[in-house]
Amino acid sequence: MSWHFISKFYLIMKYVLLYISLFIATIWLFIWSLTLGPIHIPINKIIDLIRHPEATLEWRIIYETRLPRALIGVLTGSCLAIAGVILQYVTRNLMACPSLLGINQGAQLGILLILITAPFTQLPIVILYALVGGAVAGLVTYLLVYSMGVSALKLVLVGQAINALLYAISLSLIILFPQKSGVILVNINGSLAGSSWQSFHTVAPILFIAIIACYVYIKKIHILSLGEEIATSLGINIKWLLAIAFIIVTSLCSLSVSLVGQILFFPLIAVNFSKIILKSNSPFHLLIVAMFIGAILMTLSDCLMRYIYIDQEVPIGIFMSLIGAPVLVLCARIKQ
Amino acid sequence: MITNHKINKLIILFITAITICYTSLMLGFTYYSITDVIDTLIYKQDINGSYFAIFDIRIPRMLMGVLCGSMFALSSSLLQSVFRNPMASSETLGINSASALFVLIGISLFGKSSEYSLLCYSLIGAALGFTITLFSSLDQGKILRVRLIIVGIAIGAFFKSASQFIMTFQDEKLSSFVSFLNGTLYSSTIESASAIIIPSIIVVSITFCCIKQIDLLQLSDDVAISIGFNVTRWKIIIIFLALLLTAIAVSCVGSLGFIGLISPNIARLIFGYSNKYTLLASSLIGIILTISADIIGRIIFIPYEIAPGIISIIIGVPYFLYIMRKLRY
Amino acid sequence: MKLINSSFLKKLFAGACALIIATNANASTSYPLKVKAENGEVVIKTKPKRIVVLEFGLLDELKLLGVKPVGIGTSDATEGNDPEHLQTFIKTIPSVGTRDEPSLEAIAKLKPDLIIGDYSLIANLLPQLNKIAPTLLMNGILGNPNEQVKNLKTLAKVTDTETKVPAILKQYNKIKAQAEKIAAKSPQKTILIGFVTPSGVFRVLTANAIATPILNELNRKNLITEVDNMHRVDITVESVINKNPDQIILLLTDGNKAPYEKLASNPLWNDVRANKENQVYFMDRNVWAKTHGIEAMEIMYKEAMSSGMFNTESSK
Repeated sequence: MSWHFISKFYLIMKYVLLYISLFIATIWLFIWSLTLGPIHIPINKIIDLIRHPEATLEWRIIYETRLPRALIGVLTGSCLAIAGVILQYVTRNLMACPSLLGINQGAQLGILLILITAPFTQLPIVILYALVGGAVAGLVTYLLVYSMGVSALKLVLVGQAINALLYAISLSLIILFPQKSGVILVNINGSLAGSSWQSFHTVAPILFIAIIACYVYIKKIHILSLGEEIATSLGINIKWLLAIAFIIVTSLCSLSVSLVGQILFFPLIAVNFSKIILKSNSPFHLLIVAMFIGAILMTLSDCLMRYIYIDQEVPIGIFMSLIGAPVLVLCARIKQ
Repeated sequence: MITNHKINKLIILFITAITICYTSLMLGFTYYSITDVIDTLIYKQDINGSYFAIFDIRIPRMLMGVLCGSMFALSSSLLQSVFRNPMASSETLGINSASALFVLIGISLFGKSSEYSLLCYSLIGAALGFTITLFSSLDQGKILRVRLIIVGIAIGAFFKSASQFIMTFQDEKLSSFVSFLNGTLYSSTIESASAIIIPSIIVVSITFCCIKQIDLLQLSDDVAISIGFNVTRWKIIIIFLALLLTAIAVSCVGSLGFIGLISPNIARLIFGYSNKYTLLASSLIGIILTISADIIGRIIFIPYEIAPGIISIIIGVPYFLYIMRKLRY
Repeated sequence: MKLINSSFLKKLFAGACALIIATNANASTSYPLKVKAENGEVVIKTKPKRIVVLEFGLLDELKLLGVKPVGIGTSDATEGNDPEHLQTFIKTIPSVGTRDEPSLEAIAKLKPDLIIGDYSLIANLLPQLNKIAPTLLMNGILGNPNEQVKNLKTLAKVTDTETKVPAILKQYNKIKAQAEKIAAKSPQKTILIGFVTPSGVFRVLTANAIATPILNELNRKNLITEVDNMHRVDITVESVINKNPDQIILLLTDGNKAPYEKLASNPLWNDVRANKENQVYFMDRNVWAKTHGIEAMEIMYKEAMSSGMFNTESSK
């Protein structure tokens, strides 16, 4: 009895410690990202400002640009990561990743389409197009894989093929509509530079709803990942659940893309990292850890880019896939 | 009987390839009829500027397309036989992007001194990309076929991103690299084509001399060893040939990804698993695909061009998905 | 009778003038001509009548010289419209594709006797182009004002229009001097010049960009100096505050202000000193960032003068 108690206590302590350290890391990165920029604002100054907000230039710089940027970084990072978790459970596939399934590229194409037909459209409409584009691309990929019989390799290959196809279509569109200045330099490479409170306010509520939905359905989705028979015997409506999961994943990914652009491999890296850190199969904890890891990864890469190139904006999307690919390879090795 | 049947098919493929090549001489900014092209080629007549257009632009492009298309297809067939994996190719193993990256780095650091220097950069890149992919997917001395491809795609994406990363820091100077990364025949000249024609013919003929060994590689390792066939040595030789083929092709036209992946698969659909025919057929199919992608890219939007790499993706992906349906794993 | 007479006289007079000019020109230009260009010495056998030109600055100069090319390279897919002062001229001339990847067949089809291109854009096509016609490569899009004048002189020599050069340069120098005179009256100021991308990022031209020497002559100092090989970099509004320029020039793509409004919707934009002091000026991106011919530079000077950026009163 006491042994049982101790082991349970130990387990709880383990999670508590894990969460505390992840939380501290996130907060630390968050504050670091607030200090970074062309105008140097030291940490103690920031703490001062938080205690006694006054309408100085420093305060406005932090409040108006760095804070939304940091928040969007944290938000999109965690959203992409949990989208990865859900997708892996649903597909029962360790290599499933929204950016490899064409969802992100589809959202990108959707944005490109609306910018070609009507440059400088209002943000909500752009986001709608991103959603539709992502949903269609994701659906097409998954239906294709499904019709061939699902396997890890097929998922990656078909996703990669659809990605390449969408990329080629985007490029051809740019070549075929040269006069549309809206097309010029769409946020192709993934960057947090365009972050503002406005984009945060428009997108964040939907993302929060999606995140909550993840937590509500994660148990059922996990059961589904154990086998369809078990799920049906427990009274789960599989078709419904799949539809919900699909809606959650596409909205998480497409909305993140509309905020920060295309970031290849990101969800896959975040999920795999989380699994290594967590070392347990609890879906609930995986979801939480993945959220933290996603936020940390996104903020960290943005901070690094801003730390190295102080006066310039360098897209983090390219940087992410630069560090992402080796991590992916490593993960593929460790899992064996 | 069956052999005859296959030879007939091969002849049909061959005729198609010739026809497409001939069509590529006819189509372009100005259209020249069949007889116009003959008059220009044989009687050296200049019909409405055809002499320059055909001899200085279309023939180099066609030649380059034929050489590189067949080399991409061949190298992928070799890789597929060595790894016994129909999804292996220079693109899915990360070789193309790695050599493209090294060509890019080489040119921006040392300048373009000759075709052969590009070839060197490209070969170094190809070898590096392949080695990284191979060692990353090794597991206790074995190569897992699924992991090989997944890792290869990741490595390929890595090198592609690296190229893009370099390009964000160089503007006007390297603008022509955008089309190079996508794969293009635009910059082919009669000089660049003739510079690679000898090395590529040598490598291609060596490849065809190895057909017997490639066939033996299809056997399971135990059987092969039991008949005294040195599997490891031949695997290394064949892989080296494949890398060489890819490196030459990439240094000339950039990365024409999907063509290499698809051609051997189509060939296998038509001819089954005998390498005697599939090797030849896949290189013919590679030629047909490359040249037709080039034709489409240059006539669709005159006088502007869409890189054949992009066209080949658009026409290649649907077919690729169709082949995927038949995969077992 | 009288009418015919007068027109006859006019013709005679014009003919005489032409003769004088022609003899003058003949005295300076005789073919075959050896021209020094970026690609070495080029021999031009006869007076070129069918010219293909592959860069806007060089096209601009040919237009001033009254030479109409038979084919031109135009903007590529990602650049927006062609420069406005050249648009009507461009419309009457067939396009041969983009400036950096022109269709060689299209050029050959035009049977040019001279091809003029930009060294940084098409140096690798030189062997092919030489097969079509003698090719002159110049430093066009990346050439500073002195090089543009040099290009004008070279082009005039090649096309046997040297008599027109003094008038063109006089006009150019007049506008330039006028602008410099006005600029000299206002104190030296620091400046940022750039355009806004649709996603709202401020993309500024660096000190390497061609606009910089022109601004220098106008007593304006570009603040982006720390990059070595790039012509433009992305910066944030915060960085603009940090640089703290006296004035900002925003280049509009095809006159569209919407991207700027996106940038200005950033609350920090109100903290930019140049904005607070009404020192933000709008100019044409197609002229400032895409071509640097003589006429383009005249337009730049005129735009700079008419923008009011040299008014000493408004800077309060």
